[in-house]
Amino acid sequence: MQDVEIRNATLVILPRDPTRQPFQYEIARLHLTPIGAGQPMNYDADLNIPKPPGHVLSKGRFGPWNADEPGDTPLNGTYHFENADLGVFNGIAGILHSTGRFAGTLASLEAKGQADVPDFRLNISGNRVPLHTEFEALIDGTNGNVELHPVHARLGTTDFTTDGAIVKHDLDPRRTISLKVQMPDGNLPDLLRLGMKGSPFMSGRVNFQARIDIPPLASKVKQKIILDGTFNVRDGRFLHSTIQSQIDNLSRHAQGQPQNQEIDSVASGLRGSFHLENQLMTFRSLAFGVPGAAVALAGTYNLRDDQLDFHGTLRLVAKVSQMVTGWKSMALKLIDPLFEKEGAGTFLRIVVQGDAQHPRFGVEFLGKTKSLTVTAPAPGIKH
Amino acid sequence: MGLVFRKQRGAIVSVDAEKIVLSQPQRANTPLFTINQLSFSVDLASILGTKKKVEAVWIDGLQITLPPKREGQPAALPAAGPERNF
Repeated sequence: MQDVEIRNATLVILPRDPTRQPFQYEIARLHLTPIGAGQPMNYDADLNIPKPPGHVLSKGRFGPWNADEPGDTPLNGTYHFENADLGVFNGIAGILHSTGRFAGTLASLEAKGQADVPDFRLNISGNRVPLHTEFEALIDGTNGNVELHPVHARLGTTDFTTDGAIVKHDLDPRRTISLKVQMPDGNLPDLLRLGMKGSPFMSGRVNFQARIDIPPLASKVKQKIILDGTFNVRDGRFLHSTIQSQIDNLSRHAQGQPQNQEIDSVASGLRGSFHLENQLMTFRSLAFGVPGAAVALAGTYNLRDDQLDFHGTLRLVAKVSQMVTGWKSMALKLIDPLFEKEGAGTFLRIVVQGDAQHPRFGVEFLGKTKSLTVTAPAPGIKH
Repeated sequence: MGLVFRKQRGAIVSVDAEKIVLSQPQRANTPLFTINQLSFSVDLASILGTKKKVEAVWIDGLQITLPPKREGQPAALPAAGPERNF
């Protein structure tokens, strides 16, 4: 045979468990150019992928046919995946383009390639941040399992790597997703632009490490996702001048220099260690710091009812009397000893409760909680 | 007949077939290939030659069904197979 032209082909890969759905590939057009008996064939093919919906063009070599184990028939080639609409997946959107190479057998392929989503976005924000990835993956054609070898990605200007697997275990009805994300030096505005509406409110560098697990449950992703990790924001500066002014003011007071205008545009630091499960985000630690002040909290944020419950400490370098000037400073010297504790000029036990839009800040003193008026985002100092 | 006996070329036979099913003897209940429509043309003289040659084959509606590996065969993932050269 010199040429074989095939239209409307289907490759069905049967699972070992007969109760499971077979894995199926629809091939709109397949052109084979046999080289000779017992030799591989050249092919070029045109596939329609259902999820994400898109169009794949592939060419390469196929065979020789393994009659004893057809799934072991060799296959290698290149592919172009165009205009795949990620909008079919919950929570994300964008049009994916991917090119790459693969080699292996019909049932097990090692793929290497790159994927670009120039208009990648999360539905919660709608802000577009270009995403580029370079990946290597092992694809088990018998069940669609994918094992990701480190994927090198760039989100905006932020580089990160991820590895893990998307696997359907024998007794599970759905896939389990287990990923590890490592971002040693990310650009904070890239992440804020992706995750929040409007323009980023803060600049800075971020170190983010997390493990993401999505178990094979029937519930929605937001209900079943498990996150565990740490983050550390360095050199954070608020991009809205009013907020940064308040942070500068906090730092001036906290250092006991309330009139010193040279304390300006101070850097904020933010770090935390978190675990999200059953829609409850537990912060094992959450710390915020500017020169002269440090807030250390631990607690929970319940995503189901939008409730915060954090307890911790506020430590200031300055004594209470040093945060104000004039006669107020003289008067407050009397109470300095009450707040001078554990090496801090001012030491307070604080509480943050309420919902995320309207957090209530309080000070725990002598076993009671007193509300603290704040103009926030950081605890304010009244003077 | 002359074409055949004198091996002269030019006698073209067109073959059209429908609903072709190919099974492996050990997996008779699961057809390996099913073809809805198949057609090809062949020069009769080439059939009698030592090297049989079909220029082109057209197939519409091909289904290839790959059975699972038989018991005792390793699963496809993780791959322990031959080295993959891209």
